[in-house]
Amino acid sequence: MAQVSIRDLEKAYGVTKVMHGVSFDVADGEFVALVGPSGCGKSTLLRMIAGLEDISSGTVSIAGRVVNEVEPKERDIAMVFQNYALYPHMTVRENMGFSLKLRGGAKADIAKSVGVAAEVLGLTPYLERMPKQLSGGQRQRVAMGRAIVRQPAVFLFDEPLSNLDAALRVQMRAEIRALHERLGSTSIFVTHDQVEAMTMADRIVVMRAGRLEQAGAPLDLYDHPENAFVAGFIGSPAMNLLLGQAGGGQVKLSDALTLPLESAASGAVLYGIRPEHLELVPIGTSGSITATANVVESTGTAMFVGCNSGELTVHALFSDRPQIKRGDAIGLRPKPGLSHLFSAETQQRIG
Amino acid sequence: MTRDKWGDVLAFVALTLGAVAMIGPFFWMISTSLKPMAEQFDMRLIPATLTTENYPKLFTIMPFHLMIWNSFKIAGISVIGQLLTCSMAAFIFAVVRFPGRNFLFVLLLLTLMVPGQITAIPQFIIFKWLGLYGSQAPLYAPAFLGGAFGTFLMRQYFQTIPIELAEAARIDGASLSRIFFTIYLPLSKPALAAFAIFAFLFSWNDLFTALIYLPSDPEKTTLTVGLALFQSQYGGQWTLMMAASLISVAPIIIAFFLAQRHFVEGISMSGFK
Ligand SMILES: Nc1ncnc2c1ncn2[C@@H]1O[C@H](COP(=O)(O)OP(=O)(O)O)[C@@H](O)[C@H]1O
Ligand SMILES: [Mg+2]
Repeated sequence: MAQVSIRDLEKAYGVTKVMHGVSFDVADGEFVALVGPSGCGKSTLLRMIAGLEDISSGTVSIAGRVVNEVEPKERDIAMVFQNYALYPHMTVRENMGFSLKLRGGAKADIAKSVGVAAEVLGLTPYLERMPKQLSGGQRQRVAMGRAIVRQPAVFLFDEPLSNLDAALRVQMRAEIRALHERLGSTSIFVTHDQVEAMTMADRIVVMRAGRLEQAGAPLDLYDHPENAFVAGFIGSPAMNLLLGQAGGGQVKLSDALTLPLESAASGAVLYGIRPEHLELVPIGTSGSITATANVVESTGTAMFVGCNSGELTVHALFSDRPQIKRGDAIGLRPKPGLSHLFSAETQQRIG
Repeated sequence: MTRDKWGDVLAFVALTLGAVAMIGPFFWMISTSLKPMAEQFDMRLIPATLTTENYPKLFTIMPFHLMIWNSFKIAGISVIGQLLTCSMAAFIFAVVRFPGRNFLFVLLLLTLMVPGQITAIPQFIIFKWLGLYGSQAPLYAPAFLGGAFGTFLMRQYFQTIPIELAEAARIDGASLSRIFFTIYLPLSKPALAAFAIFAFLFSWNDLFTALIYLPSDPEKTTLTVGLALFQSQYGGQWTLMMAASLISVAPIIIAFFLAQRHFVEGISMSGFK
């Protein structure tokens, strides 16, 4: 049974509608990432699940019960906020025990629960400190600790890692995921960072402008984006999306450039090919793009090349280290079977 | 010297002049209150003959101690009333979203434009009807009905507290009143201290209301009324007048120094991190 079930959820602030009917399910024990550009309604959706925001229409169910009219504290959820929202005048211990205290738990029980959570998160030495005496990563852990002491059915995270530096972010990513496994909990994790979503989630829900664009396993989204938006959003560096005319087993991208097509589609299309799915071939190879490199960036593990072919801009990513310098002319050929085709009009996948 | 330093020097000189202008009359008051009557016009800043005789003399003329106590009591109760009701209203305005919130808030601010003299008569009729005329209640009871200034001040401060704290507490299971008392109030000490001083000053300095409701019965009336009476009878005797004045401002000065740190923090509204 779905642990969280969202049905036709809509949200309007006054006359401005910001959510236009979103539906998806989160299974028991699943880790779902809610991803999309800033302002697409991720926080709003999460806050509606938490009960902090009124629902304009549609339903939110948790553990089979519609909770639209249920107070946040009765929903059996816990939330970790972007700015952690630790109570600044309470010690770590008091922060973590606050919800249990409000529930009227016995002092000894609270101390025990807090102790266990602190142990799990490595916070035991810091229990008597105030939040401002902690580093960013430690505050993050306290915020998580505050959530886990309540043993909720569902954890909600709203961009919890965005205030951390890059290295810590990678570390916390793994820690949150490990914690999720260990507690066997259900988690909904909001982020605008698709890498975070790809690396952490069992399933990703991609949103744009208050609509659900696609939901699926990370690699499904990567391999089979259902529309041009998801194609461009998932994957880094982003997929090349080139406007062209399809017909007769070919796609014409410019006067000088025509590529073979495995699909029989015709008409105006967006031809998609990921940078890592372009291979370096001798100039003039059939079915290849001749381009001039004008950005060459190497990270050691990979080499990113930005090039121009006439009007077109194409990005390529190589995991070996080809000898390419700025200004070089190179031949790029899409690896067979890895291109994507979207209707230019509807942006939907057509092949 | 760099330009910045010249700026500092100018600011320092201006502030010094300002401080002298402020402290001068105050110092004169202290000095005069410590002179014997015969030397009150001797134009010396430092008294030729130092005496404290004016102070005990005051209390034989009028029971100032009773009036000080009355003023203290009334101001104290007013402060409690204002702190409680204004911060409650401010909390709702700052934290709870409800239809018409901004309209109601503007309406509240508009009451700042209404001078006290306009509401004095209706208020008098109400208190008379309630049978409270002649008691001290009309001086502190209104403090329990909130007020635009305090609500505004506290709301501004509450808005600097991240709303997520209230939301996190709500998810943790706290009721609105719980959030108010255990999260917002403890985090607002600087603003509360600043506002408490304002409220105390306002009540302590109030002559108008006291004149309306309290007969010049020293058992009941406030220090401001006492001072006014004293001035009308002993107006020419400046040594006594200055001693009485000093007594009336001393509590405020003491209160300010005690709460100075909070006060400045609260006014500058920086406080939250
Ligand atoms: N209280 C509010 N009043 C009006 N509009 C709001 C409010 N909160 C959010 N919005 C709007 O709703 C949309 C979604 O916001 P949000 O859920 O915060 O986006 P995200 O978290 O994906 O960045 C945005 O366009 C935002 O401007
Ligand atoms: Mg957000």
